Amino acid sequence: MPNINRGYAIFGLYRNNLEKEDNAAGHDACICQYTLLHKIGRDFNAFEIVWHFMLRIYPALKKRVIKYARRFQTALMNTSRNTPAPADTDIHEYLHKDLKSGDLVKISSFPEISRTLDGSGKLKGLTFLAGMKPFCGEIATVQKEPLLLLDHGGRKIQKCKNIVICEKLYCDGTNIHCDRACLYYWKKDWLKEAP
Amino acid sequence: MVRQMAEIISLKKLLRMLGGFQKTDGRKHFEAGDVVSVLPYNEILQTLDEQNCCDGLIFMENMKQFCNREYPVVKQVKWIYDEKYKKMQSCKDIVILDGPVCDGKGMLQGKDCDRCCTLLWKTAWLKST
Repeated sequence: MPNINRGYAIFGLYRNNLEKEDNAAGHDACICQYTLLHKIGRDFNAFEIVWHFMLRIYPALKKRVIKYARRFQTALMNTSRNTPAPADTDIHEYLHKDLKSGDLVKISSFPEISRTLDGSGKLKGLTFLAGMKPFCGEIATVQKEPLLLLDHGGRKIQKCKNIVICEKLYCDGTNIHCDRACLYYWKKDWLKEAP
Repeated sequence: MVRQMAEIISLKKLLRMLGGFQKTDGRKHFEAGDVVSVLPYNEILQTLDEQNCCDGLIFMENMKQFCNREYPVVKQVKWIYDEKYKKMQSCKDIVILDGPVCDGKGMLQGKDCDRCCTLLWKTAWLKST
C-alpha cells in the first residue's frame, strides 16, 4: 500500500485501500453496526471540517489558558504548588465480587475517584472522562460486566476485567462532539455497595 | 444595545432559519425526549435491501426483540466517530433510543461481545406515539 497521509481531502482513496486490506485480512468476520459505521454517512465537507476543528480546539485552548494563568499567578504569589495526591486504590469493595445485570451500585464521589487516577487521568488503562463527573455519587444499575469486546472498529478482540457497564449512563460526546451516545465503562475500584 | 443587535443577527438564528427552508422529502424527524415506537418487523423488512441495510445502516437480528415497543429518544445522531477508519462523519435520519442495547450474542465467532453498544435506528423504522 502506498504511504498516504490521513488527510480529509484524500480520505476516500485512503479508505478504499484500507477496505481492500481488511477484506484480504478477513476483518469483516464480525458484522454489526459498530463495524459498519463507515457506510452510514458521508465524509465531512470543508465547512464541517473547519467547524469541528474549531469546536475541538476551543475547550483545549481554554483549558491551557486557565492552566498557564494559574501557574503565572502562583509564580507571582511565590507559593508552592499543590502537589497531586499519591495514587490510592483502596476503594475495592467490589474488586473480587461478580456483578450481575440489574445489581445496584453506587459510584464514588469525584474526589475519591480522582485519588485513584494517575497523571494522565487513567486507572489501569481506563480513562476517567470529563463527561463521567456528573454521575459521581449516584446510584446506577449494572448492565453487564464485559469480558470480551470488539475494538478498533472490529479489527481486534480484547479481553478486559474489573470493568462494569451501567445502564443509561450515556457519553455526551463533548470531547470530540460525537453523537454515538456510548455507555460509559466504570472500573470496579470506582464503585461502592449501594445503600 | 450591542447585545440586542448581536442576538438579532446571530449566526445560530440564521442557520435555524436556513434549516427551516430545507426540503424534508417526507422524512420523519424525532428529537431528544420524544417517545417513539418501533415498527413491526414486517414493515421494517420493506425498507431493507438484500444486505439487510437501510441507507447503509444494518438491521441486526438482535434488534428484532425491540420491535413493537416504545422507547424515548436519547439523541439525534448528526456526527459520529468511526473507530475503524478513525474519522468523523456526518449522517442523517438516525436516532438513538433509551434502552435498546446490543447484546452481542455470538458476534465474536461464536463468543459473545460484551461491548454493549447503543443501537442506531433509522427514523424510517420508527413512528411517533
